[in-house]
Formats: sequence, C-alpha cells, structure tokens
Amino acid sequence: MLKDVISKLDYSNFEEIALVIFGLCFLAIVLGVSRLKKNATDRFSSIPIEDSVVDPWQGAKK
Amino acid sequence: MSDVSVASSSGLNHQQATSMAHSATMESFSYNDGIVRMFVTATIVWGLVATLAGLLVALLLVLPALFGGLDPSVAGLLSFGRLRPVHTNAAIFAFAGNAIFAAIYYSTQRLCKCRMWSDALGLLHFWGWQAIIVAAAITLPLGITQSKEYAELEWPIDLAIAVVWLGFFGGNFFMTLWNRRERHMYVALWFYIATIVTVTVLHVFNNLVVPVGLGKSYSVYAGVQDALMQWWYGHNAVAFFLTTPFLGLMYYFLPKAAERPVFSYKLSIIHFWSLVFLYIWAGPHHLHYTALPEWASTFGMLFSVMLLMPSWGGMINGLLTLRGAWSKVTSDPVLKFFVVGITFYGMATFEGPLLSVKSVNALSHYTDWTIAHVHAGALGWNGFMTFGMIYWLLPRLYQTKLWSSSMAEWHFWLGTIGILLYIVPIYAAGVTQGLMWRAMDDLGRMQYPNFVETVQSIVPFWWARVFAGGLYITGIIMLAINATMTWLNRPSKYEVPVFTAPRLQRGYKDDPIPKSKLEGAPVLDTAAALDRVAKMDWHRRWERLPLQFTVLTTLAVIIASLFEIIPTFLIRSNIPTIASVKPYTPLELAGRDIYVSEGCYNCHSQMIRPMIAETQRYGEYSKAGEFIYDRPFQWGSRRIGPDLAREGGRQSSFWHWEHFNNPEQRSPGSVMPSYRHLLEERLNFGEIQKRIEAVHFLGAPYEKELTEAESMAHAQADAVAAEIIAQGGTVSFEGKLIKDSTAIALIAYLQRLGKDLYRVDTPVPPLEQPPAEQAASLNPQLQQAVDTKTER
Repeated sequence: MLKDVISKLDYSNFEEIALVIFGLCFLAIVLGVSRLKKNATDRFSSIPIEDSVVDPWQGAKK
Repeated sequence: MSDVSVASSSGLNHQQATSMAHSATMESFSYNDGIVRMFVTATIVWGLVATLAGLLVALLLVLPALFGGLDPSVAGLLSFGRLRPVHTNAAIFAFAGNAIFAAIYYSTQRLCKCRMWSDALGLLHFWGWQAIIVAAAITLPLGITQSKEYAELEWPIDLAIAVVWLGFFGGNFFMTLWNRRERHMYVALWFYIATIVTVTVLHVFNNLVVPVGLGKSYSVYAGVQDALMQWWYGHNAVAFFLTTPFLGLMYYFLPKAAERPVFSYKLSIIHFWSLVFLYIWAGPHHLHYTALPEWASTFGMLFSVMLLMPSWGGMINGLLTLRGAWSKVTSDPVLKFFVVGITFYGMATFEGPLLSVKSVNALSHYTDWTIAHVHAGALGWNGFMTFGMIYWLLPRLYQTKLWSSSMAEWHFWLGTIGILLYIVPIYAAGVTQGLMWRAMDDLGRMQYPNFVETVQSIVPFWWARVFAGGLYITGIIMLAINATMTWLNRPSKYEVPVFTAPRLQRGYKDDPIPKSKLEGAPVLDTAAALDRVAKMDWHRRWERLPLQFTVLTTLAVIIASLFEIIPTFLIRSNIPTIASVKPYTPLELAGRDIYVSEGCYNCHSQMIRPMIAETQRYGEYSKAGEFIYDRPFQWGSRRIGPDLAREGGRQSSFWHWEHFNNPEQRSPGSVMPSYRHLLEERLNFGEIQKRIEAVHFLGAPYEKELTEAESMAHAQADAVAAEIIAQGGTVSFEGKLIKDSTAIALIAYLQRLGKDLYRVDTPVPPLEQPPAEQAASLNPQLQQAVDTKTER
C-alpha cells in the first residue's frame, strides 16, 4: 500500500518541498533564538567555563 | 573542588528549591578521568598507525613494485587496494574515533556535573572499540571487505560496532545525561547526541546484508539504490563522525583553553539545527552525472550549497570566541592548534559546497582534488582539533606540567607546513588529471588518449605528498614523546577531587508557558497561540529534556533521509530496467567477489558519465538499469586507473592474464602493482553455489544455476582458459592449471563488464552437456589448446 501511495507522488518536486521544510524549521529556530534573553545565553555559554556546580536554570529565570 | 549549595542544583522550580534547600540528599561524586587517559593514549597510538598506513599507501603509488620482492601471496596482502581502507578506517574510526570518545568522556562529565554513569560500560566501550579496530586491521588486508567506502568491514564486525557504539557508549552517555546535575544541556551535548543517534541510523541501514559466511555477505541493496545508501552513509559519516562531535569538542575545549565563553550561544543553536537539518540531505552530491536520478543529484547539490551558511557560522563562532585573547594565541600551542583547525574547518566547508556544484564536480570528481579536500579536513580540522585538545588535557589528566611546550610548538609548525605541502601539490594533481582527461585537440579527439600518460604527469606531485606526510607524522611522533614524558612525570598517586551536590529532582515542573500579550486582545485565538509558540519557551524546555531532544534530532535525521531514499527505492521509473541485462554467471559472480575483495574500487571506477570526454575514452555512458545485479555497487570514487564500466571485450583474456602478472609490461608507466597471487591461488568452486543462492534470494532470476552453479563455473573457466591458451597463454602456471586460478574468474567478470547493454539473445539449439567432472577434459577448445601448446 505504501508503495502505491508513494508511486502516486510527483517526486520531481521533492527538492522544493525539502527546501520549504528546511526553510520553515530554520525560520522557527532563528526566531526562537532571537528571542532568547541575554542573561540566559550568558549563563548557558558560561557552563563549560564554570567547573563548580551552578544552576543555570536559576540564572535563566532572572 | 566545590561544595555545592543544595538549592542551586535541586530539581524543583525556584520557590520549591529554596524551601527544600536543606532537605535534598547530598551526594559525593568524582569524575572518571582514567577512561579519558585511556582514550587519549589510544588516540595517539592509532594516530601514528593511521598516518603511517597513509604514508605506506602514498609510497605504493610512486613505488608500485615496493613489495615486488616478497612472495606473491604476501605481496597480495599489501596491495594499495587492500591497504587504503586500512588507512582510511584507521584515520576515521581509530584516530578520530578515540579522539571524540576522549573529548566526550571528559567534557560530558563536566557539563553534566556528574561521573559517567557506568565505569564498567566505559571499559567495555574502550576495549570493545580497540578490538574492533584490531579486527579491521586484520580482515581488511586479508580481503574481507564489503568494498563500500568507510563501510568496508564485514557483518560480524558491523554487529560488534552496533553493540559497542550504541549499547556501551550510547547507553553510558544517555544514562549520564539522565543522571546529570546540570539542568541545561550545553550545546556541546547536543552535538554529541546528534552524533550518537545519527551514526547508529547510518551504520545500521547501510550495512543491511545477507551473509554467506563469516567473511562474506551481499548487500540487500543493488546498483543505484546501493550507491544512494552508501553515499547517504558516506557523506554523513563525514558529517556526524568527523564534524558534529568535533564541533562539540570545539564548543567545550575552545572556551576552556581561551578562558572565555563561546562568542555567541545563539549562533551555536542555529549552527546545530541547521547542520542537522542540512547535512543529511547532501549525500547525493557524491554521485553527480552518474546513473543516479537527476532529481536526487540536484537535491544533494542544493542542500550542500546551503551547508556553507551554518558551517561558516560555526567557524566564525569559534574564531570570535578568541576575541580579546589573540595575544594568548601567539604563546599557547593549544590555541594555535585550535585556530588553524577551525580555519581548516572553514576552508573545507567552503570547498565542500563548491565541489558539490555540478559543473565543478564534473572536473573534480574521480580526481585527486577530492583527496586534497578530504585531507584538508582530516589533517587540518580533525587532526589539529585533536592535538589541541590533547595538549590541553595532558597536564590536567597527568596532573603535572606538559613536558615540553617548545616541542608542542614544533609539532604545530611541522604539522601546518606538512598539511600545506600535502594539499597544494595534490590540488594541482587533481586539476591536472581533470583537465587532461577532458582535453581535446583541434579535431575533437582526445589529446591524451593513453590513460597512463595522465597518471605519469602527476607522479611528481605524489612524491611531494610523501615528503609532506613524513613531516606531519614527525609531528605526531613528537606528540607521542611529549605525552610519554609527561606521563612519566606524573605524581605517584593522582588527586581525585570529590564534589558534593544533590541530584536533580524528578518532580521538577517547568514554570507555566508565558501568556501571550495578545490574550484578551481583540484578535483570533490563532494569533495568540502563534505568539505563544514564537516565544520559543518550548525550545528551552527541550534543552532540558534529553529524551525529547534525542527523539527530535532522530526524527529530523530520519525524515530528511526518507525524503531522498523512499522515492529511489519505490518508484520504478527511477531505475529503468534493461531487458538485455542479465545476472552474472556463477564464475562471473565469483570473479566479481574477487574484484570486491581486492578493493579494485580504490583505483577503478565503473561509471561512465554522460560527457564527451568520457564517452570517447570509455564508451557509451552508464545506465541505471545496468547495475541492478551489482551487490555491492562498484562505481568507485577515484580513477588512479581507467574506468572499467565497459571493459568487457576491450582487451583479450590473455592480455588481462599477463596484465595481472606484470602490469608494467602491458601498460608501461602503469602504477598498478602485480597481482601475481591471483594467478597462483586456486578458486574455491565449492563456495559458488551458496553465493548464487544468496544472490537469488535477493532477487537475481537464476534457474539451473540454483543446482548446477559449480559445474557451470567449471565449464566457463575451461572456456576462458582455452581462450587464453589460444591467444598465446599456457595451460599451467607455476605447475598449476590456469583454469582453476582465481584470475580466470576475475577475467570472466571483467570480460562481462558493460556488454549486456548490447547483448542480442538469439535462440541456441540445445546441446547435450557432458557430466561436470568430465567437462574440462572434454571441452574441445581446451583439449585442442592442450594438444598444441607447451608450457612456457
């Protein structure tokens, strides 16, 4: 059945569909990232520098 | 060492955490650095082995008779075709593999603020992986191979890889994530997650086979489908074994070495998701102008070009992390290695999209240009990031000063000069090859019709590579000395810092999703919902949830993969069948297995592209339908020797026999080594029957072959031997009848290549077949030849 369904598809458009899927995901991520607060990203990016156990969640909530 | 406040690490939300600050159970833990020391040592050892193997295969190209003085059966184990996979597998899975394990075991513990979940799994992982590498080093020279680039290892080793990679390594890693004491998963961990899940998916699906013994199997895919699967795997092996884990390494160790946070955490998030989404689609760019459907090829090119953006985003993020610290770069060899490594990442990821553009690829494909590109990435990016990490780790792991900083400086400069002296001549060699292959004279004829002439023109560049490789290896020897001396200066007992902190609480609940400012406003509910989604609080939640994050990454990889794989597999028009194309005869199949075993694909392609320069040199361009019985496909990726797609009938069988014995004699200037052992080895006719059955199980329409494969193979071997004798050959070689040699089967296969396209089936009156055991003696051609020839 899957074969029948797939064989009905016009695969010549697959590149364009794939591009649209990627574009939507990319936009969603960029949008979300742009809305991240600076204190959150500062806290996250300092995790490898800070060897003692800290709570980035707490910092992110400020 | 720090005693951590309870509230800072509890799993409850802020208010609850504060109220329960003194009631959570405190735990003591330390990091397992012993396993990191083991992986670092293995990295250095295998780095030496991999590069020495590389130097050896580079030497074999300029001195093809290097092992000519050895017994043919020994020299056969040391041919370029058998040793090149040893080099590539050692470089990728032994050197780079152990490096990423060292990086992951060290950084994951620190980023998760907890010890690796299981010391025992860590040890199983370490020794299991080393055993796999040793198994590869033994089986590949023995010719036990699937002949699929970077997936050469046969199915028993593949099974072991799956168990060690996902079971021991993956299990340990994910359980560590699960038990972490740091709620936010730092971006390096995302890259590690993507690495583990994607390599598992790639490895499993590319290696689906039907075994016919411990050392032989047939791929469930054939021809075009196999090619698509292989380069879906091959390209993503580069992406998810040599790129994403090294980016995780970069995002952890570069800030540590520079003592400042990554330049932009936002950019790292975009970098990660863009890479995961884009990389997985790009594989088909390895198959431009081949028999792969054009839409798939375009698909690969499109996404490959787009890959430039996230790749350079990552490179810029890495280099700008050093903002304000450039003065340290001049004095710190660790940062020097990182800067040059990241720069090579940028260079290689610029060149990759460039090479994926069809018009560029038309020139570069099959040439040494690809080899230069690969080595810019492997030696520059993977090698230098690894060396930088090791020099940073050595004093910390062995709790003493690095033995010699000046030796590390020397390593850096020798390595850098070595890379440049390697890639520049090999780029020149690649462009030279590409231009000579396509050069036409004023009358539209090939300017260099003799392929050997194009090979000879680049031999000086190959010598330069040997010298450059020697410089790079000298640097690794310095690293080995430095590491050994540092280890010798270690304290009698390592200090093991003990940390105290509570676990994350399972009862943690996220704060409610922030309300939209549009709620209550006179707008559609949809607008308010969209506004809530756009706040991206969901992504922040994912970053705290390893299971969900892993599932989403896996879904991204699988969905993208299915987009290119499903149509190619299910739509018949993608692979038009050709009525005249028939399965291989039993002897030809045995010959093909020898071709696979010898690793001929390392030098010869079997894919004529639809270009004038190619069709003039090799004949009609290859059609997808010609490969439907090829398991595995053998299109190859480089041409040190000419394409063989239409080799059938091009030379006499006797020519091939003599050519195997002494290529230089038949093709003066050829760099092909002698395959004399094929002339002496006896073909195991008894094996052929079960191989025919396996191929039949996979769809080859055999009939009487299912019961008479062995006798049919004998009959065809007699006929080929008779042909050779009639053309000037001898009945026996070194005292053994030539009709039973492995070379006869290989010649039968070569003489079949590319001929089916022109096959015209005419009805043949049935002949009475003699009993199998009498076939050889009754074969009139052979009998006549025996009567009239004397042994040389």
